[in-house]
Amino acid sequence: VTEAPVSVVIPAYNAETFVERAISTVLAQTVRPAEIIVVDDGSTDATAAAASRLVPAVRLVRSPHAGAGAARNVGLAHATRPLVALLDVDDTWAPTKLERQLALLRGDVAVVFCHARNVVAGDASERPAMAAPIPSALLARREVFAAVGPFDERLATAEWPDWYLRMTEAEVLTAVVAEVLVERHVHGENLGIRRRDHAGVYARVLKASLDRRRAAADVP
Amino acid sequence: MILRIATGQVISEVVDDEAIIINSLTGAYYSLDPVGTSVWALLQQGPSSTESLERVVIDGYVVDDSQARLEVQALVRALLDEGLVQECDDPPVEATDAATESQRAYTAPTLSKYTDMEELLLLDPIHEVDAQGWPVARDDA
Repeated sequence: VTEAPVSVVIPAYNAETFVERAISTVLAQTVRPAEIIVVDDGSTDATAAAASRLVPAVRLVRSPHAGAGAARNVGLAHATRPLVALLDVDDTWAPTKLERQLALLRGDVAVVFCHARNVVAGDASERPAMAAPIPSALLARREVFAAVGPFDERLATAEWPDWYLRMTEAEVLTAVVAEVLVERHVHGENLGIRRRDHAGVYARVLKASLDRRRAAADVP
Repeated sequence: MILRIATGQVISEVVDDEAIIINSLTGAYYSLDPVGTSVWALLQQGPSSTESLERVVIDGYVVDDSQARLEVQALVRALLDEGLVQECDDPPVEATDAATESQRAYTAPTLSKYTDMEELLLLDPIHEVDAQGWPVARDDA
C-alpha cells in the first residue's frame, strides 16, 4: 500500500456510533493518507473515547462545540500535508476513493470531487448516484483553503454551500471522478435544506453569493 | 385565478428587497427584482388572487395600470412555468392596504434563474425520511 501526502479531516459531533466506521473506511484506502485528523467538536457522548482507541493511526483534536464548519477549520489548521480530504463522520468512503481522485489531481486541477450515493438505514433499495459535490467527496490542494478562506463559523447550517460558492467564484479548477466513491448515510439528523429553520440561511447564502458575483460583474 | 407558493417544494426568503427562491425539487434557484419581490412578498402572506398581485404593483409603483397588469401576468406565468407557484381553490388572504404615500420607480418584474448549484441543492435527503413523518407536505408524490 502506497502513502499519499493527504491529510484527512473528520469533524465529529456526538458521533460515537459512526466515528469508527468512518475512520475504518479511511484506513482501508488502497492509497493510504499520511495523516487522519479527527476533530471532536465538543461531543457530550463517547466520540472522543471511540476515536482515541484508534490513536496513533489517527490524531484526535478536541475543541469546544462550534459546529461542522468550525470543526473543519480546526482540522485544517492541524493539517500538515499538501493535500486535504474531508470526511463527514456519518459518511463512508469506497476503498479506491483517494486513489481514483489522486489520479485526476494533475496540472492546474486543484480540487477533485467524486459521485456519492445516499444510503438509508433499513432500506436496501438502490439509490441513484449523485454528482453532488459534498464535503466527503472533496480532495483539494491545501492552498485552495487559503485562497477561498475558512468555513464561515457564523453559519449554523449551509456553511458548505457557502464555502462551495466561494470556491467556484474563485475559479478553482475542479475535476470529478464519475464513480460512486462516497456513501452518505441518512439517519434523520442530517436533514439539510428543507428544515424550515434552515431555509432562510440557504437563501441568504445564495443572496450573498449573487451580490459578490454582481460586484464582480459575472451575473446580471 | 388564486395562486399560492408551491407547497412543500419551494423555499424562499426576502433579503434586502430581493426574493431568493429555491425549488428544492429541481435544485434551481431564482432571484426577483424589487417589483417582482413585492408580488412574491404578498404570496408569502398566503394564497393571493391575480388581481391582488396586480394591485400591489399598481399601488406601490409609478406605472400605468394596464402595463402593470400585463407584466404581472407575465411574471405569474413564469412563476407557474417554473413550478414556484400553483393555482389553488383556497380563499385568498385579505390584501392589507399597504401605505402607498410614496410610490417607487417601476421596472418590469424580472425572474432570474440560476442552475449553477443544482447538484448541491438537490442533495437534500428529505425525500428519504418523509416516511418517518417529517412534517413537510409534498405535492410531487
